[in-house]
Amino acid sequence: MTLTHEPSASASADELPAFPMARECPFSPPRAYRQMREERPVAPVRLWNGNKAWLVTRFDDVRKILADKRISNNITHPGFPVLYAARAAVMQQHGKPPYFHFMDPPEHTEHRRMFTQDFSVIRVKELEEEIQSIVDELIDEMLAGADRSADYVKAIALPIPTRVIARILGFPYADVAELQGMMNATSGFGQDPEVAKRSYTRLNDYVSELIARKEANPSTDTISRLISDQLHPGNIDRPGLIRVILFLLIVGHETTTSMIALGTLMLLEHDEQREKLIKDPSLMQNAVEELLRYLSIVHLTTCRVAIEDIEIGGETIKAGEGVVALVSSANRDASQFENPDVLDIERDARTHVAFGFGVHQCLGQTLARLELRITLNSILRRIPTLKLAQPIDDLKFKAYINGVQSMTVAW
Amino acid sequence: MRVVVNTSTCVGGGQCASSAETVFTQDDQGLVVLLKADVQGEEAEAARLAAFLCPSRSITVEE
Repeated sequence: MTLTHEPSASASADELPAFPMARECPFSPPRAYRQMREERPVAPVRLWNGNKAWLVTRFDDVRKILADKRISNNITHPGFPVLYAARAAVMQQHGKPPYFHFMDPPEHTEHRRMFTQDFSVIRVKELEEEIQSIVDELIDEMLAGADRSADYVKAIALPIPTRVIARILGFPYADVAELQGMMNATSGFGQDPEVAKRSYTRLNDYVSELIARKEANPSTDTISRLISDQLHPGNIDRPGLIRVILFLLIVGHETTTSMIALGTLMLLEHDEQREKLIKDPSLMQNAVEELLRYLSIVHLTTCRVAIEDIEIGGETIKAGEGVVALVSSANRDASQFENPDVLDIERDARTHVAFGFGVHQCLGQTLARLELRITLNSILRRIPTLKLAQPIDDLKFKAYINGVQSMTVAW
Repeated sequence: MRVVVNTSTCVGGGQCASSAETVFTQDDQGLVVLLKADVQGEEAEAARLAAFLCPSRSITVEE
């Protein structure tokens, strides 16, 4: 298939509003989404390369479109809305979807089922004690620091999910920092496409060598299991296995890091909500759902392409046109969540679509929830005096997966 | 209320096993297993939520 994510002059798209849109507040989606939900819930926009795509903004429509069999997640489809240049470059280098996430059933289902077992409710529960000790250890290290102050991202938010996913997959933890640098260079707005391609190649080489080492010395981790259950019987080829492992490593830590950092920040900034949680820790499970809903950090990845004409929200999305199902907008839809712009840890937010919807919904959601619950509980219990120690307006945010680059806290 | 599951479309997200743990569990592949087909009261309520949350629409409830 020819890849045509290059900038193209599309006269009809010239007049449309540009997407992605800027946020007025780093913790809330652009205000324009609200107006779209009310006035034009399925609305056309223009992407960086001049292509047109449709935004879907209402809760019901977002769920409908993401579960629709006439919608494809095949990123190599010419109409697929690729949101930035580095991603298009990595895509072109490959000529096929770099990760199984960008496939459709039945191919997607076959890939996903290779490791649904590793993230099941039962398996994740078995990790609870181990995650608690990782969290305790990192809090101990932070508290042992000299001046009762630390970068919370570096001390807590990044190392917790990174250690957990490295442990599950079987990555040597010592290598993870270097891998993170390479992974960051492969994705996100403003990354140099050439650097992105080189970093992707280096990541592939690293995982290829790791697979060879695990073949020589198998262990009980997921990579060793994938080698014996999937690679050796021929269910997946070597490049395919490399892509699967890289994908799990990336999605297994970046989003959880963001949620731990921003989730903590929200509790620090909302005194009443934090006090309620300190008084009654049994509210934590509910609070985690509300933080997931409110923050909706994975706000730009639910891009799709229509493979047949679809009537939705009074519009016709034609076969071959791109669609972005805005989960951050769905999660602020007043028809589903009363006073949606208020953070309320006591509300029932369980129907949120922060993990997406449809067959591509986050596989690691049970693990993410557990990591969030344990981390936030432990932080509130052990450091009740924790506070943000820099002006909130000075925080530097990340745009593609919403997050904060660093965050100075004190206690 | 009667609950029906379709393992052939299940994608193993596990929301059913989390939201209605006495009605659903997961097999050793992580796919849905129905523990109880006829449910009442609180369990019916939980199963309704599980059906709503199921991302692959693999759970149906018949009132």
